[in-house]
Amino acid sequence: MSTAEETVVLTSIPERRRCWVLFYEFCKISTFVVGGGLVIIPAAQNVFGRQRHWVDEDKMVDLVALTQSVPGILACNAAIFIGYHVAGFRGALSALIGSVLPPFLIISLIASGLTAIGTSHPWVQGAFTGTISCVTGMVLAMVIRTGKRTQRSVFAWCVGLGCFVGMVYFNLNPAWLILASVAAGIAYTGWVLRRGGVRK
Amino acid sequence: MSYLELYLVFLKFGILCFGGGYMLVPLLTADLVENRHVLAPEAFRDLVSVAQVTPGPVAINTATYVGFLQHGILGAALATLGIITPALVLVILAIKLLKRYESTVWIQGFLTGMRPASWGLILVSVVVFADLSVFSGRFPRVLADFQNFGIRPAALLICLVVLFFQLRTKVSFYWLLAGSAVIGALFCR
Repeated sequence: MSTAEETVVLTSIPERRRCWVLFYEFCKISTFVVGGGLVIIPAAQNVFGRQRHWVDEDKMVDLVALTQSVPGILACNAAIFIGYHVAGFRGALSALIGSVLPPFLIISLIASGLTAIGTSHPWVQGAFTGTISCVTGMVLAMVIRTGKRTQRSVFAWCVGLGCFVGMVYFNLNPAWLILASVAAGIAYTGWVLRRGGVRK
Repeated sequence: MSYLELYLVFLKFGILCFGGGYMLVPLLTADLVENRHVLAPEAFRDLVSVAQVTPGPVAINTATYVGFLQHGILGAALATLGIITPALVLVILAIKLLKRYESTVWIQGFLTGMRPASWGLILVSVVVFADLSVFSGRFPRVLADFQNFGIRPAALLICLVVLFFQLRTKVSFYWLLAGSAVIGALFCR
């Protein structure tokens, strides 16, 4: 799907309706998706990319890259980025409120003692393992799909695998890895341009 | 903690939090448990285990929980607002800067480095999630890890089936999540 198609899909829906859908879809994601903020990214990619065609795949790759390069909670960053892209500032607010409201209510109920959940019950543990296995598959699918777009050069493979190895094997802080990757990206782009090649 | 302090503390966490809610746990331990003594260590452990199995971002769950224990529903709202304020400001600022300087070498270079870096970081989270589910023992990082490393067949099967559905079909992931929870409750105990 191209950017032009995406724009046609978006402009054919009134802004108020887009805001409501953002709120509703992020509410739904936050209510049902277990596993923390990062899972919101593949979930949102499913809903707004593959199902609704509101954000095309190239744009999604950039949204994800930006989400991770700005400090702040991953889930909120992703919601704001997608909301702003789809319906401006009001869209960003709708998506953010939608993603925060359900966990806020659920945790308030638990903290006030109205609802008790036994995290040690074997059924709960099993269901948790099952959902996290599902989440692993979802994130892996996203790695494969976005990898086709991001991992196209030797440079990209060095940066991507470098970040992976740095975090898993050397316990480096992701903030430093991101800074180093951005610096390398700027140096590389400058070098390619100076050499006079067509950058791809 | 006063109302203002509660808001400001979580505002600070909102800025410092980088790379997902799990990164927040050591920061929170240092500040709330060891420094300010507003949470007992046991309470904090309970909180983390609840925040993980309940849906929603771990950071929001934690902020709501700590805020609620301090000042009830108003405290919960203040702490949650505190942790999302920086995101709202910084992300919209980032989008504006990006649109404005889109064609410069700096932004093009930033994206050239950041796209594969974000791919690598998401690959890390595959390992983090697999450690919690598909792998028994953790993904081998040092030689000693290989001895304890194993794979849970039922969990691996769920993961692969979900992978297939996500790549080849348009089945909604809500159905995949629901199915996985049921199969997990039956076979992953």
